[in-house]
Amino acid sequence: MSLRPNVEVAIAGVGETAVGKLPGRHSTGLYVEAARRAIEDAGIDKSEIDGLLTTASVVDDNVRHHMVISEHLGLFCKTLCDTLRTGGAAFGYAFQLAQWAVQSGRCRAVLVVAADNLLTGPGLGQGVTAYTELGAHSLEFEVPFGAHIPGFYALVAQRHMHEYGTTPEQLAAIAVACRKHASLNPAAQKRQPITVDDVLNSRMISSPLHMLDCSLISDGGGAFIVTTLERARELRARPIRLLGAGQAQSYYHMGHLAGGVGLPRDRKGEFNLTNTVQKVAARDAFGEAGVTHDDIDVAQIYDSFTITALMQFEDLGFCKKGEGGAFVEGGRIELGGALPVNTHGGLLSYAHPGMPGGIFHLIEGVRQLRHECGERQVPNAEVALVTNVSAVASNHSVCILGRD
Amino acid sequence: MANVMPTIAPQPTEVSKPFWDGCRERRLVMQKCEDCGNVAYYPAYMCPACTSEKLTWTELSGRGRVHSVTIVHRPAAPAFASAVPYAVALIEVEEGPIMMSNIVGPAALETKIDDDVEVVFEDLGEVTLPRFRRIGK
Ligand SMILES: [Zn+2]
Repeated sequence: MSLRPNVEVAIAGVGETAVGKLPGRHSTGLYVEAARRAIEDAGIDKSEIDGLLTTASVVDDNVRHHMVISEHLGLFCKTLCDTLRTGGAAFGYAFQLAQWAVQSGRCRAVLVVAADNLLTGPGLGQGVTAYTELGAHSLEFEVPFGAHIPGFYALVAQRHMHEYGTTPEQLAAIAVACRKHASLNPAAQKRQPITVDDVLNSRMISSPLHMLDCSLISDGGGAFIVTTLERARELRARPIRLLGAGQAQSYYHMGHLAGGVGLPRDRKGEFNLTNTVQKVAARDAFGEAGVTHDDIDVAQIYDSFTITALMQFEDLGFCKKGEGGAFVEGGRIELGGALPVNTHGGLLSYAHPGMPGGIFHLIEGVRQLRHECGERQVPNAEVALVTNVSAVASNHSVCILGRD
Repeated sequence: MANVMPTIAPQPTEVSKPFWDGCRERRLVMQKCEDCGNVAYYPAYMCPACTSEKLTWTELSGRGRVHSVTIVHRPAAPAFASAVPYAVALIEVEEGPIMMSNIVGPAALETKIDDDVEVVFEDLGEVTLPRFRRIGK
């Protein structure tokens, strides 16, 4: 098998369910609905799909979740089929796996789909607790001390504030921008505009993160289909090209992450709580795409918490390390600013159904480049950057998309 | 001790049992690599720095410095509901590794990064947890 690097790949179709509170819906039903919409959007014959990647379901998991979904979709014989366990970072990985499968000729078209009903599935209110506890990595060395996902990210935020003087107001600016964009998106879960003061006055979850620094809990799902650019051009929707992708993973256990356990002595200090391996993923994505930061018209930046997004502007190279706080101020990341971010509203205001959260960043990147975003459209958007993150700033994927 | 912060008790494994046994005896112990001197945490099967298997359980000073700290207001689980707000911290112990724990004792909620701390052992039925208190406070 040899890669055919000259074979360009593209997203041929996207689809999503409604998001927010969808009582009575089963996660598998949401999976099927999202997949059907992407197939219909692409106008592709289902028999052409020979790859399937899912991200399981917190609410209704199965060790072979991808088999359950392929049965519901009637996809009998696949040459790439698995359940990705990379959480919120899964979609950049899935895109890259699909890229390799399509470039090598092992797959003709790969369907990536994710959905869950985290808000209503476990019983209203229980989803917050389920997902908060889910993130705890080490049942033996972290959970006994009362740590949870917001607390993990809070430890990162405190360190960033300590080292670089980042302020709660700067963190809040990200939540404000996402909500502003969600207010322009009829599909978003939370659309009432908020101010920096609203964020700072919302309930403290784990200092310095307030409730409005934390992403939503939602029901919903999305899907996209990857094939060759050549094939995508024959299909119904405008193809969106994958210009470049990169991924990098470090550690989940906070002590390992902070201490750079296992790094060679001469690289100690290169990575820690506030310097993530996203730098490596970004290097590869920009390198493959052959574009610069100035070429990026719109960015969909994974925002499980405000601090998650803030550090990425630094590690992606949009600003220097430590300057993320200043970067997000003054409307730079809002529509009309130099780098509009999370134009759908992000995990902070559009939706966060758990594992599927990152797929909406990718779908929004596609819709922006297709110029179909209405009031929230970035004029003449040609190049979009999309990130996914999971496991407390340790799993990263970066994709750069281009309008065909 | 009154009002000891509760826990969801860890389940020791073959590799970690000496760590938890040490806590029960009020000794903070970690594995030191005989080949490269690296101290490992959490308990390891192999030195993650040099791949040596010659790891010797060694008693630490029990002192460390706060690498980061957050005050948790929303409990991580119902078991912790009675304890909020409480301090979750990453402690860089003197011998090098960074471990997650709690800051307890006087002015725990005012803990800052770089504060000096020392270990305290809290008995919680089936397990004894290593937590930390601020030195000189
Ligand atoms: Zn060693």
